[in-house]
Amino acid sequence: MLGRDRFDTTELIEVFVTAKGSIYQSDVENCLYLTFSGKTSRLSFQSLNDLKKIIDKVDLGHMCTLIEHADIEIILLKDNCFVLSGIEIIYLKEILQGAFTMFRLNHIITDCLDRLVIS
Amino acid sequence: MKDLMRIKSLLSAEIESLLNQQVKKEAHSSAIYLSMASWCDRNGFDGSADFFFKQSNEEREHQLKIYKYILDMGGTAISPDINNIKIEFGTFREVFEDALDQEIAITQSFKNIVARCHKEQDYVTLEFLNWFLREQREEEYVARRALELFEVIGENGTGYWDIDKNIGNIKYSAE
Repeated sequence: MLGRDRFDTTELIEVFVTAKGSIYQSDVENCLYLTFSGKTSRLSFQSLNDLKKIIDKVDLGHMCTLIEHADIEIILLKDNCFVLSGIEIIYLKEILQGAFTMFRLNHIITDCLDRLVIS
Repeated sequence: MKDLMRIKSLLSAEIESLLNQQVKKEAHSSAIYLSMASWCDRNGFDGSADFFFKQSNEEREHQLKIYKYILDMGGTAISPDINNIKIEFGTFREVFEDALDQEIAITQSFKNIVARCHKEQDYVTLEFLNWFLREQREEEYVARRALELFEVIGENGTGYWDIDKNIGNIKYSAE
C-alpha cells in the first residue's frame, strides 16, 4: 500500500473517479493507482483485472445472509490485501466497472488511430 | 494515454473467455473419450478402446494448444475443472453416437468463436483457429464414418466384432 504522498499525481491520468474512490493510470510506470477506502494501491493492469474478476465473483446475497460471521470479504492479491464489507464491495465494483469501460473505450480510440494511414 | 489493456494482451476479454471455455470443452471431450475407451475395453472391444484412447490424446493436445495460445498472447489460461463424465453406455452403438454428438458440439463451438473473431476483427486468433476448423473436418468425418459402420456391416452375428476390427482403419484424406 502507498500513501497519497508517495506518488506524483501530476504524471497520472484519470481513468475513473467516484465519490468513494478512484483509479489513475501512470504511463511512465505502466501501472495503475487504485485509491479506495482511505488507501492507495499500486497495481499492474493484470492485477487490477484479477481484482475485478474476484470482486465480480463475490456473492453479495450470500454475504448478507451470514449470521455467524461478519459480512467481510478478504481479498489477497500479490502484495495487496483488501478487507471489504458488503457495501465497500458494491462501491469498488462500480469503480472497477467504470475503469474497465474506460480502458475499452481507450482501446477502441487507440485502435482507430493506429489504423489511420499516415501521409 | 497508453492502451494498457492492449499492451497486456492481444486478446479481448470476450475472446479470452471463449477460448478458456473451449479449453474446458476439449478437456471434457478428452475425458469422455477416455471413459468410452474404458467402456469398450471392459466389454471386449479392443479395437474401439484403442481408437478412443487415441481420440482422448488428440483432444488433450487440442486443449493444450489453445491453452498455450492464450498464454502466448498475454491472456490468463484457466485450468478447467472437469466432472460429471458419463461412465456407462447402453450399447456399443451408443458410444459412437455420443462420439459424433461430441464432435458436432465442438465444431459448433469453434464456429461461435470464429464468428466472434470476425466481429472483433481479431484476425490473429482467426488464423490460429483455422487449424482447428480443418481438424474438425477430419474429426467429424471419422466419427460419422464410424457410426456408419453399424449400418454397412450390421449389428447381427459377428457384426460388432467386424465393426471393432475396422474402426481403426477409418482414415480421412482432404485431397
